[in-house]
Amino acid sequence: MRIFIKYLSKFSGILFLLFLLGIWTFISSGPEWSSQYLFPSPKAIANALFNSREELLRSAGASLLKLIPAYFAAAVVGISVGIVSGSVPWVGNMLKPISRFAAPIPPNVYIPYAIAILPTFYLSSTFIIFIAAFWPIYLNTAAGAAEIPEKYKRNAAIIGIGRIEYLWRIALIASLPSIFSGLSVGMGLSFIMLTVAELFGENTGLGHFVQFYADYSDYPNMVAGILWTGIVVLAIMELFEFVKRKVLFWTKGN
Amino acid sequence: MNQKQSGFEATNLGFSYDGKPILKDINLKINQGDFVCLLGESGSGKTTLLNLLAGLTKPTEGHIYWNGKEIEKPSSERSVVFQDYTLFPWLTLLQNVSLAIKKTQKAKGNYAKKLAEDYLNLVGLSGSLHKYPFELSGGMRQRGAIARALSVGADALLLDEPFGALDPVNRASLQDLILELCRGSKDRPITTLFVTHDIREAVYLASRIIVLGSTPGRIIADIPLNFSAKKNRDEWFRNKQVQETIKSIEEAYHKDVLEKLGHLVQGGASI
Repeated sequence: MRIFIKYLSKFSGILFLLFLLGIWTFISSGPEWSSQYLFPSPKAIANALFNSREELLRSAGASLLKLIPAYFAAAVVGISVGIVSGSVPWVGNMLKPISRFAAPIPPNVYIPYAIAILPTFYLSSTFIIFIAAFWPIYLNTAAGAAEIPEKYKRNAAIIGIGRIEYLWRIALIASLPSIFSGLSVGMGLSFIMLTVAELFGENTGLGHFVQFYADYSDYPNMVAGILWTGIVVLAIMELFEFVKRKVLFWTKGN
Repeated sequence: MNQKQSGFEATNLGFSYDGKPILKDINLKINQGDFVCLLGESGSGKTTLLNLLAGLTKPTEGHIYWNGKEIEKPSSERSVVFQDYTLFPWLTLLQNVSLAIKKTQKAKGNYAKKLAEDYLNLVGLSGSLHKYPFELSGGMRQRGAIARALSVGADALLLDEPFGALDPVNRASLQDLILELCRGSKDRPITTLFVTHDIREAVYLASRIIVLGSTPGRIIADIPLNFSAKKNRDEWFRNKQVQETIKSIEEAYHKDVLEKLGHLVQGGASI
């Protein structure tokens, strides 16, 4: 009995998923109060996933083509400005009022304006993703650089590391733990803004795929699009965690 | 450089923080090659004095000189070992020490690495060159910090309770190591200032002990020591002369505390 419970707890995640799948199968099997039309069966969804595989892959590619450049630009600008602003008090003070004001603005309210002032939908989506990822990356980096333990600064000074060299050799590396929390929050937000932007006006990408089939009431394909988006985000987040563990190996035991 | 000017010199040195005096009227001369232990209770300004000598803090009164020149900022000539392990955690031992060598000695690549290896061998870490600080015990990290402090070619070594967080066995072996490194070398005399609150440690290590009294920190005793070589630790501590020295330092301590208590009692009575 005990062994049984042990195994049950080990596989409880998968069992619960199977349980939910069972409920879904039941709902979609057509009890009177349900609608087979709005709740396509798991089999229909699997078919849609398979039949639309090329379009799904293309959509993921199109989404990543917006996400990656925007996210990397946000990371490069956010980290470099953040390191300087966290290490040099007058720069930090100069940027504080604007970041206090602008960081909390939800990035989706920029969408109409971005569409109005930027020449293409592609540019407006990347701009919105940039904004969404930039603030958490910048704020976390600046906080990390400002809180570097005094002992690292002192040692850097004693072994003759100059001010500029300090920024990249000490501040950047010592702030990596907070930089990664910023990168992680920024990643989550940029996914949200990516799909929001695609639901609005884009004609490519994962958000567009879902919106397109919803417009035609093709729910198997629409649900397949949602599931596929989940898989893509999960894969990227796992990759991110992998890189993070590799880079931050030295924070063990600190 | 003439002999008179080498080493540390402080004249009427004082330091206040938020208007509260931490150190007051420190007049001090530490000759090149001296091994000075700075003893005092918590709050006597030991660490502040060490930071002033290192150039990490600037005095609010008086002057402080190193080899005749006023100390204005930190320098690799005066290396520091702190109590909390300060190797950069993202670098291996070898990388930590070679970085310090590259920055201070203008040595390049493989040569810097070779030098770093020599310094790490010197402190008994030849088997852990490629380990990261998180893979090492406290004692090993502190050996690494000592290797790095020596590797920058410093003429003065400032140690702020470096063995305070270690177990007794590690502590004893690191004390012997630091003695060997700092007092053993005749061709490269290193001026050492070792902050501790452990009287036995101070007597074991020092060629001179300076005792600071507290609130504000000031020198209450300055005791030159001249003990024979330490072959057997336990036997050495049983030596009558050593025990008397320990006792006299304890008395200096207690006298300061009692005097302060006396002031308090008098102050209380006059109200």
